[in-house]
Amino acid sequence: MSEPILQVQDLRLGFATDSGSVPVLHGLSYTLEKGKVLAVVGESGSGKTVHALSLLKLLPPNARIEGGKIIYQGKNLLTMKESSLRHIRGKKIAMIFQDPGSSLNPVLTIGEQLCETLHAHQKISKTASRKRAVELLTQVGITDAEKRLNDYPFQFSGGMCQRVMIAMALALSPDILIADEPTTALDVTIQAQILTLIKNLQKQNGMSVIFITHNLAVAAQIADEVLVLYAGQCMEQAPAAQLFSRPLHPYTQGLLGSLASVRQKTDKLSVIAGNPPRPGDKTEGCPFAARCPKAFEKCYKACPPLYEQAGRSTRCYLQEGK
Amino acid sequence: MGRFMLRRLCLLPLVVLGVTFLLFFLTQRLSPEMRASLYVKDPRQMGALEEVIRQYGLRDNVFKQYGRWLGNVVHGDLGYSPSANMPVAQALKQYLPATIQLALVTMLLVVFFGVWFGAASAVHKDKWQDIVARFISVGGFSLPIFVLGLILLMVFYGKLHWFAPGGYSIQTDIIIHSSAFKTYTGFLLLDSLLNGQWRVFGDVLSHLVLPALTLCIGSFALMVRVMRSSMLEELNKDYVRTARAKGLRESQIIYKHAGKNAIIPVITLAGIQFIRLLGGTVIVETIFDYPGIGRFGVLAAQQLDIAGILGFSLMVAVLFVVGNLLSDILYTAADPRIRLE
Amino acid sequence: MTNAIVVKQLYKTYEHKPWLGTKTQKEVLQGIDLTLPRGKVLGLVGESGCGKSTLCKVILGIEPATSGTVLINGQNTSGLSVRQWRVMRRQMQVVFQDPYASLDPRFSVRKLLSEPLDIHGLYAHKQDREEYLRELLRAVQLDAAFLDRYPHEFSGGQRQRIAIARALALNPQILIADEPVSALDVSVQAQILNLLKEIQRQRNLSILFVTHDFAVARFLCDDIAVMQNGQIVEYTTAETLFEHPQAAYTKKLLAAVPSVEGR
Repeated sequence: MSEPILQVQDLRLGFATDSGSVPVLHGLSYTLEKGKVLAVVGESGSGKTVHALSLLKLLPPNARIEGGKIIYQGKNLLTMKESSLRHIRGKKIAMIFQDPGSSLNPVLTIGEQLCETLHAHQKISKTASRKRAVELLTQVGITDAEKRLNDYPFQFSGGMCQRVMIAMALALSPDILIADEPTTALDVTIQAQILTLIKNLQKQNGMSVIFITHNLAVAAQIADEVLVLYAGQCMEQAPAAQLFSRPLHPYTQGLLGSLASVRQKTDKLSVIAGNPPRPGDKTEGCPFAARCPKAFEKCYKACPPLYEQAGRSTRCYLQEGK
Repeated sequence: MGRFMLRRLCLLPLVVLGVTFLLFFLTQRLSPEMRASLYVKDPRQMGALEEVIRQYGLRDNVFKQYGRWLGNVVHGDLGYSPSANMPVAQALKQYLPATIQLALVTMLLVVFFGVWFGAASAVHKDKWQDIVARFISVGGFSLPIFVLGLILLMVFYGKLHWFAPGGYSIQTDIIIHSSAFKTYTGFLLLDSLLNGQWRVFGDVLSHLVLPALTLCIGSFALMVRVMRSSMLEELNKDYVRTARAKGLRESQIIYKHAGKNAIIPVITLAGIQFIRLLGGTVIVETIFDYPGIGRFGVLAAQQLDIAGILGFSLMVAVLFVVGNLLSDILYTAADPRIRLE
Repeated sequence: MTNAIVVKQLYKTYEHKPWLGTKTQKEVLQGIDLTLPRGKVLGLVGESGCGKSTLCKVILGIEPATSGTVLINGQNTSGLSVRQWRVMRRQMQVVFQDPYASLDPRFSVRKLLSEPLDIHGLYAHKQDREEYLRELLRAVQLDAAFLDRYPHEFSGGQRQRIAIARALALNPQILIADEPVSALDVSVQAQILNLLKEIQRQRNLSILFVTHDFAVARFLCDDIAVMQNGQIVEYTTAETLFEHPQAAYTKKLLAAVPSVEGR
């Protein structure tokens, strides 16, 4: 019943520095299913944003792809020519970013920026593309769209800019939307609106979404499937409902436990001891072992594999043989 | 926006008054006799100095004298310049177009090549294009105008006889002073075209080559540097990543997106450089014996031609403010965030 | 017993009057009334641009108020001289949001922590100083060996601990915390929140806690003021606010908070 639309296989990435390459992703693999929302959750330094950028090869110049494949429609995006990749960017796979204010060009009008996406991928007249732009802006909830086409990004609030970004991303009805922390810079009320908007549009268009976030609660709102990233590795992947009700990996358990709640007053939050590792920190065994309350001898020696069971996978020796 | 321009225009009289009064005040350091002697051409008339002093009120207090000079200026009378042997107003009218012509041609070179080299340098960072542009830029910074001017003069005039100093050749001189040649704008490049005199146009242009090259080098070096760093900064911004994610062509990303933003600081710089250039013309016009306002100023200063110096400074002050205003207008036009505020 | 901070009818208006132009006015604070009782935590919750940061600046004396009064430990802060402010700041310290920007990267931890002590001439004796610095680091659960290291060697959470240690150096009675955990990773946020709560109890600190995060406010605060457009729309005990929110704005904010529970 489920149909894979994007497959990431053993993706390895590193950053070139003066003192050699610093690895950030150690062989990440997952499958995105058609019409589903996959949330990739991780803390800073986990490699979640670099991973998102690598999907369309938008990496900064010092990033190095060291191995792996990203398969879309039977082709590996990582080895594709830049000229062919251009036809996938924006048309088949679109992307929105964390800071909507700076993600739009300050000296071009919203209309120009919307229309150029259309012109880049199809033969379309100026009047037709403008008409389509008005439709798109209306669709993402911008009133008076006709007039606002001539406005510049600085005349929009952060939330409005993100709506414009979404309109731009959806312009050509892409198969996949990559959303890199799209609500992190926004206020909670605006965040709620944007999440609802993405969810609605995703359902309407039957689109697949890769939603990158550091916020578990946001992931809970939007995702069908959740992948927890830690130190460049997948720690746990599971359907959202299962992951939040019954997390298997000690890291996921720790993260969920450490959240303060609006629903009840807690006297003391349970914490994960220590700090997240920084890229380049060397670990022999499981990267989480140093902070794990359940770690035992084996955990420090070799990194556990992903144990798969009942549609979820967990990188923890505690799941061995279950 | 309109108010902003108005505010800037109000600055014009302030700058002009400030500069000229300062100079006027300085000339008062000379004794009335010395200043009076400047009006006297024939040594035999030296006895009549008192007469001159009284006639021109050279012993009055400085404000009164300045007021009188200002009153004359308002009526278009800038005094007589002995160094140019004509009224100052006429001298300015004659020399100014040549200088503006030189400065504009230079500016065109600076902006066009500066932006081009700077952008190419940023886009091809650390490739050969970048290395060449950076090399030229460093070279341009370290070469003083007078050294470069003399080198060019020696090579292209002394050795190769390609370009001559001066404003135009004798043949051109004859043509433009004939009654058939009509003066429309005072700018020879334009007037020669309007008169259909291609030879004159070519001649004037060839006389512009060396001074313009000399004059542009410093500003060009700076322009390359600013454009390069501005472009590098813009290419790293989030919206460039967005443009790429949309599947735009690389040329669109570079010129339409990054370029449009990178050019904004360059425009401000161009305005400032244009003004600086006018200062540079003093040296360049002297080296190349170019008949512009800079050479006029130098001659006036050498001969203590007070009326000439004051007229020259007045002109420079006006150009200064107008240049600033122009660069502000351009800057505002380029940046919607300021335009629409 | 006097209250730690009392704010009465505080107004703050920014004016911009260009030469030859029309005056523009922005009313950032419009009649704020707040009381931070001694030994309590008062949460100031609102979205960006609601004026909560400006209120902090006015209380800290960084910005003057347009009208209204601020009493700190019963003392009116308007018209205080620079010297009087310096004395005042011994009683009131601040922790900022961004632990990367608030610590001077050129200073070792020892120097960072010593600076406020030097200004006020405290613990001048070398051995006393050393002992006190170690004690400070212990209070924020950091190793004493960190004294000779520099900010860039630390993670965000560790930096925020150092920033807290520095704020505690003068043993203040009042702490102003401006979004102290919002720049931190989830797993580290909880550590810092627990630490703040513990320190507050141990030292009977009065904390003005500025945040946009209701969950964090619920964990830490006794009273909560909800701000919108420069006004306080709801001001009550944390218990009442979360159980029976009154203002429409509060309800809207609470409804918007995403949660992992009960999806």
